[in-house]
Amino acid sequence: MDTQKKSSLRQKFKIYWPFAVSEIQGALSYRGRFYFFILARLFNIFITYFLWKAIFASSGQEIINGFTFNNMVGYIFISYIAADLINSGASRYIGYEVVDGSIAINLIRPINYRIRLFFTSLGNIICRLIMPTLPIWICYTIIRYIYAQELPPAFSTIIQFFFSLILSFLIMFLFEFCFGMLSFYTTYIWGLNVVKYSVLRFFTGELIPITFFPTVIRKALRFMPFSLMNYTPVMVYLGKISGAEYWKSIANQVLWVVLLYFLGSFLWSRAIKRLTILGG
Amino acid sequence: MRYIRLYKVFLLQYLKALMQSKVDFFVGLIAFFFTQLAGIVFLYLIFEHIPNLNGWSFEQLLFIYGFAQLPRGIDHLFTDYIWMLAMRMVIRGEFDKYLLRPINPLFQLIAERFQPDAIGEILVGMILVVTSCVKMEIKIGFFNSIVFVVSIVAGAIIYTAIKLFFASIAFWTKDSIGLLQLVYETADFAKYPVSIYDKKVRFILSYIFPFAFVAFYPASYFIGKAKLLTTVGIEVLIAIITITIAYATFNKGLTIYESAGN
Repeated sequence: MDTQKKSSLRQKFKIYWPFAVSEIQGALSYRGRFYFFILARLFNIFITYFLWKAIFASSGQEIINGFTFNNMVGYIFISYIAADLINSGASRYIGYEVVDGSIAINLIRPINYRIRLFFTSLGNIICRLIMPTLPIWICYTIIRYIYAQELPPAFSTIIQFFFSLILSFLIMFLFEFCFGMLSFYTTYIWGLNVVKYSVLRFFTGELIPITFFPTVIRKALRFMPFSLMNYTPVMVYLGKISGAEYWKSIANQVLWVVLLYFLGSFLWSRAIKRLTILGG
Repeated sequence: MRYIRLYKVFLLQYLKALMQSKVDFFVGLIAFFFTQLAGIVFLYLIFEHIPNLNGWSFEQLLFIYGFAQLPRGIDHLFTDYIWMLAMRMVIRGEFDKYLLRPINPLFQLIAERFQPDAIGEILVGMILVVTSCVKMEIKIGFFNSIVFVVSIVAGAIIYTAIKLFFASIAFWTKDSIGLLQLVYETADFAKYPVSIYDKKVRFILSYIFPFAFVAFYPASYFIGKAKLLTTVGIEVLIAIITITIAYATFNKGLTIYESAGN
């Protein structure tokens, strides 16, 4: 029984893995465009860096909301790296496929659409990990060591960070899948994506640590999955979430993975019904 | 005159299409509204902890931020289709059709799209400029209102020129979308006072990609922190120079354009 289950899992992997591979190949053929995009995003990081520098200089304080300037620089860069590894943009794929109609072919195929999409996203993330995220992280770590004599966190912290990051990726993917279901109801998914992107940048803590928000919003965010997508792993990396608190965060992340999984299944079954109606 | 008439025809077609998809229009409008809002809320949260940023008050920053949106939004409204030149027109040979008609190719390219999404950007800019002016009790007289309009038009021209120049590079490289996006992104630096950056960044923003002259310098004139000639004066000069260079590059690109295929 157990071996049978294992082999079927392996079979499944064999079926879906090519989707990840094709994504990697696709990304490699558009490399030039991609590097420019990365550079453009790095620019944004530098704006934030200079802003914080001016903010700390103007405040006359060493610590703002529990962050020193060095902490904050770490926060900016690590949250940039984390955001890159978490957001797979799955909702955009769904949008394209609904608009150009290729979703119909994917529905006829004897594969699970969500799992297929998951592997596509995975391929995307693997690409980004190799280039540019890992090189950026290495550069960042070296520069930090030279200028601030700061060592990277302990190996165990990095493992904890990665574990939390993987859960963040899952939460984000499942959220994106739910969000992508909107493509069945409107054709203007581009505009919705822009809204989602700016809201997420805020509530995931990518733009500014969540401790800076007013208490009311912080309390409300506790009941939403957003802070678990970026803020949590970054704070783990910085050593600001550790011990019992770490495991509490992980439990919270797992809870949201389960919730969003079922929500996605529910929304999918409804959206598909609608698609059939439109087709007929 | 002929071109104005033609543009009217194009525009009417657009508005017709727009009315068919009102939802899309509002989504686009709200989308840009949200994007800008994030930056403002960021500043707001920060000012809980600091009295001023490098000597600039919250209201002054809002003014600069809002002011930066206006030329950008106007450029976005009218010349958004230039992005397509950078993205795919040369690769796919789509540029052919513009060369066949007896109308200026650049005009045709620009008239191809009217981008109502930009209204969200302009709206945010106007709201910020007006509210911050009221709060700071800045009175803009007759002379300064003219300067204001001139500055925004010149700013929009600088945006268009930079966009056109880097999009025209696609005539040589087939596609220049990455490069264009990179340059365009540097415009975001100019939403904040240039004084917060170090020397190198300041130099790039002032003299290489002159986005500082689109937003920060003219805005600081209206706040009363700088003189007219060294801000709006230089801005107008830069607008004339950049658009001339960009248009010449575009025309040079046309001469070497060969359609897709052979």
